Amino acid sequence: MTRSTHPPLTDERLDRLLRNALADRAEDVLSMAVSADEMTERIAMRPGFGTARPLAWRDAPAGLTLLIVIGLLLAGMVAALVIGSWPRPPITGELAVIGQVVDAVNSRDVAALRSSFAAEATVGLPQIRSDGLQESAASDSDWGMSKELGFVEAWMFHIDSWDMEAALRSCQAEAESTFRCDVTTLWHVMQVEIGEEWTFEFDGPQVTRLEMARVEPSPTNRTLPLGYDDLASWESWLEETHPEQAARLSGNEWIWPFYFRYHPEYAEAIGASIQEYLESQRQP
Amino acid sequence: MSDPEAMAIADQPRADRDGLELASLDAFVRAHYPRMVGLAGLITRDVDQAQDAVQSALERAWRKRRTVREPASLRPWLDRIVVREAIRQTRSGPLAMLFRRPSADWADLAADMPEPAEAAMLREALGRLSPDHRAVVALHLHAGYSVDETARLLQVPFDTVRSRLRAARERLRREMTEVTP
Repeated sequence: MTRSTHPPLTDERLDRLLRNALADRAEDVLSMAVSADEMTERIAMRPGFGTARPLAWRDAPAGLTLLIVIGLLLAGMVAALVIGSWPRPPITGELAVIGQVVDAVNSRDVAALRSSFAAEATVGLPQIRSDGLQESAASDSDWGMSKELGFVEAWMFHIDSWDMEAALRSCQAEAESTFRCDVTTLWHVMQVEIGEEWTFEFDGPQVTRLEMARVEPSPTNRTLPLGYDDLASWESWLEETHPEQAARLSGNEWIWPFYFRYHPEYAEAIGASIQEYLESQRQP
Repeated sequence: MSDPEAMAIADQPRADRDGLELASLDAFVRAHYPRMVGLAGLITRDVDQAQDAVQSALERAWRKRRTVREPASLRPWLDRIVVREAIRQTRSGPLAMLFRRPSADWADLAADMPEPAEAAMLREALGRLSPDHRAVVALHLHAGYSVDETARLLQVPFDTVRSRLRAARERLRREMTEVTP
């Protein structure tokens, strides 16, 4: 059953209504948001803007998260020491699940990946600053495994675009249900190799938390020619030799800008450019 | 360029190797914050998320301000950063949501004020679009970018923007002409 609207809802009329609605909503948001002066103050107090400030509940969720993570880690360590179970040998069943997760990543099998995780599990991707250093583990790139968020697919698309392969090196039980694993990630399209730590937290047989951290952005003993740090050299070379490509290929924003700042849409072109860069470096 | 935007640029902008010379952080924020937080709010539907997105975008923009060579490109560059940040905010995981204050959804804003039923329906229908679709609608119909400019700003193909706009219009029209049983 439908009702008629008067006058008819043509594209023009709909757009006019939309413009009005959007302008009203934007005004509403602005009226409820903090003032420009307060925003300036917030930004000025951020690290790197010249003024240090104490952590605050409302203003520093990332800092708060970091504090809580550190607190939880300390509490976990104390608890582990008290019960005398740290370190302890890995549990076969949980290692098998870790293997399944890595296999699912390498085979880009979203269903298999999800089946290893609890419904409300979360994933934290590593954040690397532009200078190659690791951001805090408590990143704002956390995302849920729940089906409706679609981030698993987005992440799979991302790693598939770069033909990423995860090689599990070793795992160590850190606590009753936490395992820290050394993983080498091989980004074949970019010919980049990165040393990472993947920390798995379990609730029974299911993973409730996977936290990835880049511990060695440019491993010295690697099989692929480049480390993460070398990408800066490639970018410089690109800017010098192909300035028309540089702006397009390097430094594109992506939904996880610190994870990999290159847009997967340009994966093929970037791979070709890196190959050309490597060949230029080999020439006498 | 509006007056506040002109204020944010100290002298005649130089298209030299140093990029734009901006007057101060204060003037920079005052010139761009109102527009950016409104735009971000249209995408996030949440005032806190919009503020977080704008803060993050302004911080990043201020640090990289010297990479902007042309004054005309400043606004699209800022809008591009804030829109991406706003979309990312809408995809924050459960952990991030734990530390967020209670949501102030834009669909609830001014809900106690009388308004025509059509506008209320449209507001609710807009809120049900995906963040990607809201971003396209907001950039094209609110911020005034053409389809081509929106595509370049979002770094997606022209046809993708056109298709998202068409899909958004169709969905809004459908929702506004259907009567819920």
